[in-house]
Amino acid sequence: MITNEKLKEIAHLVKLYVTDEEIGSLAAELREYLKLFNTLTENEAEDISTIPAVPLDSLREDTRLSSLSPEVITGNSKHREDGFFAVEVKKHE
Amino acid sequence: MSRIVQLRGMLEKKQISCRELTESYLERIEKQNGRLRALITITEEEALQTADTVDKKISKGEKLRPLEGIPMAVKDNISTMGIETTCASRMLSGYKPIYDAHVWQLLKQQNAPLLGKCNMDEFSMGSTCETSLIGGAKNPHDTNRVAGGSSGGSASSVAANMAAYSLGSDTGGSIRLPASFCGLIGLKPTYGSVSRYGLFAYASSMEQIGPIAFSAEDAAIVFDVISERDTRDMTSKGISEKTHPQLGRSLSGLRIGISDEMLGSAGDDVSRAVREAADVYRKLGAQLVPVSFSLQKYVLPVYYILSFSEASSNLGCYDGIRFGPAADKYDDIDHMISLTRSMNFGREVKLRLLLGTYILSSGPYDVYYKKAQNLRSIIAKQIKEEIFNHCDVFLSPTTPFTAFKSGTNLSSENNGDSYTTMANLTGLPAISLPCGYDVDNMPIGMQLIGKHFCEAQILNAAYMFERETDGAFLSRLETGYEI
Repeated sequence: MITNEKLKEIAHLVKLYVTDEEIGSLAAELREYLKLFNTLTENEAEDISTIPAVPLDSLREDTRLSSLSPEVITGNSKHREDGFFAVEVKKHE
Repeated sequence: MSRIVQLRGMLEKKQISCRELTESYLERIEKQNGRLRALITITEEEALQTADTVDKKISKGEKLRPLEGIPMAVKDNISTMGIETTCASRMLSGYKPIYDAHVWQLLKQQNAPLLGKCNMDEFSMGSTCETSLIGGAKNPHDTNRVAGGSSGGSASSVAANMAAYSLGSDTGGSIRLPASFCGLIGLKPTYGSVSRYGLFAYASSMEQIGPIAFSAEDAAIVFDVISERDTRDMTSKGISEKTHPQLGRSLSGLRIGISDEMLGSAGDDVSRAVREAADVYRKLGAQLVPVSFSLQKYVLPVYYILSFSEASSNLGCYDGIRFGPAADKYDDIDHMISLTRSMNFGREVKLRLLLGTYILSSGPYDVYYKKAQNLRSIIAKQIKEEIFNHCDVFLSPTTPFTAFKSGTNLSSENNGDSYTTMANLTGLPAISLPCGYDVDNMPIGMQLIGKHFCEAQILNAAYMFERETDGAFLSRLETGYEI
């Protein structure tokens, strides 16, 4: 059973803030999904090892390739300094 | 019936220049995109530049490659270097990829004019396209109805002839469902046929990029170009033989499995159309084999559990540090990340991330995740034993119903994915093709699932159906541009 308190705990784990307005409807929807997921408990099949959908025969040797420059990699970020990602520690104003 | 072959012929015979052709698509986009919301970004300059390159080749008398000069569109979760790619999310607003997806690289090599980036459900999470930041793409057959999702814009744009073909991605039915709703062909390739390099990941173990096209022949031509092995995706295997030259083979002796339970669970119009399509296959010499799949009721919950779990991990990279808009005022880095994620993710994404994280937490992990992984393996084994030991391809409706009105609330148990997710859990190739119309004149789609890497077989079955029915069910919308 997912309580509102439990939902807040999960939200903390996944780095989301949920407002008091959101929490009721989200919890109700989560419970609906869990009802569907509980059909799995009816299945008593024995545990078998996971079979890959496609045989993993396409593995290759590691090879060194050229990579993008730090300037290009950090180009989409507003938190960048000298080719590094740099997050300034700020306080609320 | 191939739009691509027809257009290439017109270019080669100089009946139209590539610039004129591309401009005609851009005109239709300008007229219709405001109403249909099929494209998030329009790339006019990029398209015309490529068109001019193609025209130079034509003027020199050079032979065109299969997709050269054919204007197209790409789902907005496929990386296009320097062109904004948002996954229809505020989280990636303004983000310009710094590399190309493998599939886009291959299309660029063909000089494919890119008309724009297609609307989609936010991060592919949805089956109507309505979770998009800009609102869902509309269905050109009836703009009060959804185009389907998540690749709704990819289907809407092709159905309205705003692109000759498009690329979508399919994690649980996201190519096939909108193709079905819009009266088009949608191919979800075998897991491993097409490289996922440069695709924004939702559930990595299930998704594939594939074509949405006007006809089976078009889908085969596009698939042959994009299914080249790529060492940057360790699950990429490519295909050993092109599919296009294999179209037109006799279906005599082909065993087509069909499940009465599945047909019975679909709407009356849908069930009738698929049964009539089965009769067409019988006339073509195929053998219809009744099959039954005992684990069907577990498919949807297993799909949800595993895809939400993978999503909760895959979407961890969206923190506001490396890309996208970030919170301005914060106490520390954790606060900044949480604020950024809370303000930028839409409700459906938040819901799926919360569920995925819950499933992977201690306790629920054993009850749901471990059980679902185990069942995924059992489902794959049983599909082989109960279905593919008796037939070559499996025929079903693509969805239980046709396109519905925008804003309709769907339950988690009945959101249109119930027949499509089976192929994603098992990595099997699947195609949706139009096979009729319902009482409201909305297209009905049927699905053919094949064995691993047997795309040629399902594409050929779709091609032969089109040929036998004289293309009667292919999209016939008035587009203002007849070729």
